[in-house]
Amino acid sequence: MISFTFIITDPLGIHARPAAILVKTASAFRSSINLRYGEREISAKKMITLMSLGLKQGDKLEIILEGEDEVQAGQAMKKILEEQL
Amino acid sequence: MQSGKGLGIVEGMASGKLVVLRPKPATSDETAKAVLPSRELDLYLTARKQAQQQLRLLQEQSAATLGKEQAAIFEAQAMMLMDEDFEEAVSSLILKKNHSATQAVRAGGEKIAALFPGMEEEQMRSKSADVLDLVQRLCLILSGQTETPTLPSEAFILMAKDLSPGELMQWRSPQLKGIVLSQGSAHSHLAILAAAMKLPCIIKADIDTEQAFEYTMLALDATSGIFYLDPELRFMSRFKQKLLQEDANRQIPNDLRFYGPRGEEIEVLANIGSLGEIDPFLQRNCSGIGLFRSEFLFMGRRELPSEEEQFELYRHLATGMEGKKVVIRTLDVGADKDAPCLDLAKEENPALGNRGIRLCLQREDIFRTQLRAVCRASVYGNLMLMVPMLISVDELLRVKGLLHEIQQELRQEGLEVPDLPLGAMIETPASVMLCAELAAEADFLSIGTNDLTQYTLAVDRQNVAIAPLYQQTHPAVLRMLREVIRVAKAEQIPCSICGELAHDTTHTGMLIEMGFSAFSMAPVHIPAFRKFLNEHYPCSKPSP
Repeated sequence: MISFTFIITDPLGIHARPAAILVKTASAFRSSINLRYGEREISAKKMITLMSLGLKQGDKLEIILEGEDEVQAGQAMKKILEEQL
Repeated sequence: MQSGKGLGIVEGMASGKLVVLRPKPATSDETAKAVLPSRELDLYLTARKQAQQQLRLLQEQSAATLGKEQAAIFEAQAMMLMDEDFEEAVSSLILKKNHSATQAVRAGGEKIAALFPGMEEEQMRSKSADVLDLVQRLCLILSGQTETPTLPSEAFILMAKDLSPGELMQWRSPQLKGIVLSQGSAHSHLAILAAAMKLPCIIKADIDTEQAFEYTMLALDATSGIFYLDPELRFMSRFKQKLLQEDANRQIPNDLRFYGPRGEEIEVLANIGSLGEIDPFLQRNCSGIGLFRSEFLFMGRRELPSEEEQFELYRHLATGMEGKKVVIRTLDVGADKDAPCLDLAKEENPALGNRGIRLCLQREDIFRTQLRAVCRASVYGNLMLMVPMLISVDELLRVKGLLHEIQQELRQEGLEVPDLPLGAMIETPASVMLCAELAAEADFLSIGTNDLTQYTLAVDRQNVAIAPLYQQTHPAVLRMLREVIRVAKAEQIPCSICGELAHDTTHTGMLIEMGFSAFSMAPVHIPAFRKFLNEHYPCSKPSP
C-alpha cells in the first residue's frame, strides 16, 4: 500500500471536468484507489461519490493506493491531480 | 426602448431577433404510477443508452469544432449518466417505490444533485447543473419529444433563465449572435462553450424571462453588460457601426498575409465538420478549408444521407467559401463512431479495424454516392478530395479509378465536371514509408498528426494511463514529418499538416524550418495562430 497527500489549489474546487479526468485515470489501473477526506474514505473510480465530497480550494486529501500497479497508479494520480486541481 | 443590465461573461456586441426559451410544462404522465416496474426499468435503461449516444456525438462534435476542454464537458456528463450511484438512485425508485421511469429520473436526479455541496449557492448550482441537464435529456427521450429546434434564418439572440451545454449545442448556428440569461454562472460549462464559440453573453440579467412579453429584437453589449429591448432604428445604426468597429479592432487585418524564410506564403486553413462553422470570420481569416470531416453527415442517424443531400451540403461548402479551396475528406469512420446508418459490426480494436478508406472500398455503394455528390458539387467552387487511412498505393489507385469512372459517368449525363485534385492523407507509418510512391500518384499530401503519432508510437491516445507517452513531437514522428515534406518538395506537390500539432505555436517555428507552410486547424485556434504569425513572420514577401 502507498499513500500521499494533496492539497486542492483550484479555486473552483473539484468540479465535473477534473472529476471525470480523475475517475478516468483511476479506472485505468487495477489497484484500489481511495481518497480520504476528513472522516470519509471513498473510491476514486466513482464519479458521483467523488463529486459528493465537495472538495474546495485548500482542502487536504489523502490518496491511498493498493494493488499490483500501485506505483504507476500513484504516479499517474499525482500528475493528474497536479495538472487538474 | 427599454434596457437592462447584467454581468457580461463573454465580451462583444451583438444584435438580432429575440428568441425566448421557456420551460415546457411537465406532462401529465409524470405523476402516473408505474404499472409494471420491470417495464419502466427497461424504458429507463433504453433512454439512458440513447442519451449516452447523444452525448458521445456532442463530445465528438465539440472536440472537432471547439476543443478538448469543451468536449470534456460532454464526456463528464456521460460518465455521470453511466455512474452506478445514479443508476441505483433511479432503479430503486422504480423497483421499490413504483415510480414511472420519468418520475424516478427526476426524483433520483434531484437526490444526486443535492449530494454536491458547494461553498456558495452559485457554485453548487453550477455543479448540480450537469445532473439536472442529464435529467432533462432523459425525460425528453422518455417523453418521445426529441425534436430539434427550428433555427431562425436571420440573426438571433437567445434569452432564457438558464441554458444547458446540450441546449446551446442544439441552437448552435452561424445566425446565433449572443445569449442573455437571467440566472447563469460565470463558472458554468455553458460559459466555457459560449467563450469557445465567441458568443457575447450576459448572465444575471435583470429581466424575468418567464413573464410574457412582446419584445422582438434585442441588442447587447456584453462588454458593459447592458442589453436593449426593441431598440429604435436610429440607435441600431449607431450600435451596428460600433459593432463593426469593435470587430475590426479585435482582429489582425484580414488581408494580411505572412511569409516564411524562403519567401513562401504561410497558409492558415480550417478543419470543420459542418456548414454551420462557415461564418464571415472564417471566410476572411483562412485561405480555405484544409479538412472537411464528411463523417458528421453520417453520424447519429439511421438512414444513409442521399446523393442529393450530400450534393447540397458540398455545394454550399464550395459556394460558402467563395472560391477558396475546400478539401473534403472522404467518409472516415470506424466501429468506435456512432453511425447507425452504416450498421458497423462491433470490433475488438476499432483503431486498427475496418475504418476510413478500408470501409469505403468494401462498401462501394456508399462510397460511390459520396464521390458522385462531391464531383457534382465541384462545378460550384474549388473542391478537392482527400483519402484517409491509406496503407498502400493500390488503395489510392482504386479511388482514382472509381473517381475517373464517376466523372466519365457524369460527363456522359451531360454535366461538365472539372477534374478533382485527389490527395493522400499520411497518417499511418506505412503511408510514410510509401510516401514517394503515393506522392507520384497524388495531387497533394496532408499529414494527420494525431493518428500518425498514435500508430507510430503504438500509443492509444484515449488511454490516460499512458497519456505521457503520446507525444506529437516524438523524434520518430518528427523524422517522419521531415521525410514526407522532403518527398512532397521533390515531387513538387503541396503538403499540409492537420491534427493538433498544426495549431501548437510552440512548434510552428520548427515546422516552418522543416519546410511546411500550410497548417490546418479548428477555427477556434485561428486567431491565436494568426497572432503568432503576425509577431514572428513578415507580412510582405522578403526580397531574395
